[in-house]
Amino acid sequence: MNLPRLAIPAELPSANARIPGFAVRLALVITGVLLSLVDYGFNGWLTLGVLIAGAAAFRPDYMFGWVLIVFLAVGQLHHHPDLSWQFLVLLAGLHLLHVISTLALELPWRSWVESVVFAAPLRRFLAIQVPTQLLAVVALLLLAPSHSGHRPLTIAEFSVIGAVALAGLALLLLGPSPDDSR
Amino acid sequence: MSEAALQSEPEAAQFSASAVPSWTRSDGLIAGGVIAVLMSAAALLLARIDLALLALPLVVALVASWERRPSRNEAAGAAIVLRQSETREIGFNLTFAAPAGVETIVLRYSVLGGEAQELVVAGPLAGDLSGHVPLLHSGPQEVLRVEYRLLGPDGVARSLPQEPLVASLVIAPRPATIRSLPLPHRLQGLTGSHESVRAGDGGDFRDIHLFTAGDRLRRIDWKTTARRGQNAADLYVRRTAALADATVLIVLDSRDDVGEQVAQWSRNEAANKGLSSLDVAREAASSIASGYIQAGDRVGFQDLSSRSRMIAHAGGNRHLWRLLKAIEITEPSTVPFLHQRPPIVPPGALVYLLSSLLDDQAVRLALRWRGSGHRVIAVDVLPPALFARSTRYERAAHRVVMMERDDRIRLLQARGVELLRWSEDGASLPREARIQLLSRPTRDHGWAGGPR
Repeated sequence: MNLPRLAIPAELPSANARIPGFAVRLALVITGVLLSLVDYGFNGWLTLGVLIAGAAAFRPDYMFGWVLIVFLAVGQLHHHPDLSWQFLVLLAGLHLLHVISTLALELPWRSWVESVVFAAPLRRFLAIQVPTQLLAVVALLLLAPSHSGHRPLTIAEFSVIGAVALAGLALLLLGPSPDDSR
Repeated sequence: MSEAALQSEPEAAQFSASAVPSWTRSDGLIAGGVIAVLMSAAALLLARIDLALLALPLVVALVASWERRPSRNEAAGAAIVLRQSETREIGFNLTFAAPAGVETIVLRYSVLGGEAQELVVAGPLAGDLSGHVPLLHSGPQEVLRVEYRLLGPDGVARSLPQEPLVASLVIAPRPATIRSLPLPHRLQGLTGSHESVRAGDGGDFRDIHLFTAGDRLRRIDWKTTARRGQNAADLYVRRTAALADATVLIVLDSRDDVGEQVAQWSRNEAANKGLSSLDVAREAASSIASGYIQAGDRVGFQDLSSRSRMIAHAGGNRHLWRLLKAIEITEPSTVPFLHQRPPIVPPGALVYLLSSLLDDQAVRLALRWRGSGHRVIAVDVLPPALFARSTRYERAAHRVVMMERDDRIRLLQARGVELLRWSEDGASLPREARIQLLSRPTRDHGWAGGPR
């Protein structure tokens, strides 16, 4: 590939690969910066978010994409856990960051990518996000405490069981490797 | 384990390889899992439902990807079909057979040994990838080299790069027709299509000579006998020239292969160097071999860089086929000439030395053969230079190299080695005219069929 000329390789025209691989990393930077802006606003933390996003795009193999997810999740702790558009954007954005970081990790930046490569991840993203957003709205309306500390539905056990279930699922994923399980 | 197969047809060649991929777990999967656990733990400790909600899509995404991970024991395969067309292009079809669950194929390929390029295609949708490669050179060449690795959904699993699949072809040069053939100083053999200086049968009128023992009675020329005869015993016969064949040895100096683009002399990329000296040499060698064999002569072939590519002189169509195949597979060896002694040349043979004349070794051989009394024609196969994207240092270096080469050419000509420039350049005579000039008898030593 000749990056300065942005020349699409001509030997395989039927591949229809028209998206440069570095566009994924560019998307990672843009998403990271926008989410940092939404989460932290214009302050010093935004600079840190931009730096981490740049590092994530520059060296995806150093896992800065997931560092950025942690950074943004920590930023959420500064906000009251109530229903807001910022939270819903963050909910979608962190998932999107995970998807883009995985793609940036696997796709060579000097490659050319068929547009249909992104179809399946995008479909899965939407299939997960639509119910998750609905669930988030309902859960925050019912379970999130108000500014006065009052919870519409205070079921402590519910949150405990939910968190344990999530942790259990994550541990299940990290347990056996694909080589062992098949 | 990988297995490769090659099936050749006259117009198409198929190359395929299949193997069970080695799968590894993606780092993204581990990182996402760790983050989800951390966020869930933080949600639990801090009683923050929003953190639990932020972890939820990560967990669901990881579980969904894990459930769709590719099968571990299923083999992956790739196949390349090459088709040679009439338009000096090679068409190729590239097909993949990916295991179930493979969502993306990262493909790394190079054409004609050029720079590798990377493509990312969707696994299930990667049908036939087809394209064309311009046919720039003759001889053995790597048309397409493909490496690939497979990715599961969301990178949950990835394979190690598969063994490279290489599609190679041997492209035959296009021989030019040679109408007039230079001949050695001395023809040998009792049959052939060339007239020798010996008296015999088959040729045109040679001379009138006194009848000697062995002359046939029907050759007596009664008119000449009546006119010249001094007494009754004087008989004159009409003698004709005998026919003979020529022995030709084609010696190909394949140690270097420089292209017409001077800027590529150091890099030597097949896709960018343009017409190369070995392209010209293969065309010249196959043209010379075809011309002489079709004229009934005997031709041998010697590749200076390979002892295995030495073919003794012989004639006939089957021998021509052997010669052309040996010429086709000639490739640059980049090793110095290892012979202690020069290759043996049959007595009275005409030697064609095909070389770019960029070093002294070929020149020494030519002079030694010439010193042994052989007629030697040095065929200059260096294509005309082009200077696209060359630096001034490269142009200066080219000028120095050409000056040294000109000295060698002058030395050769001074010692009686004839020079034939094969490439057509507008400044000089057409090639056919240059060969015709070489076919004429010279003043120093006429060729076998000419007056001595």
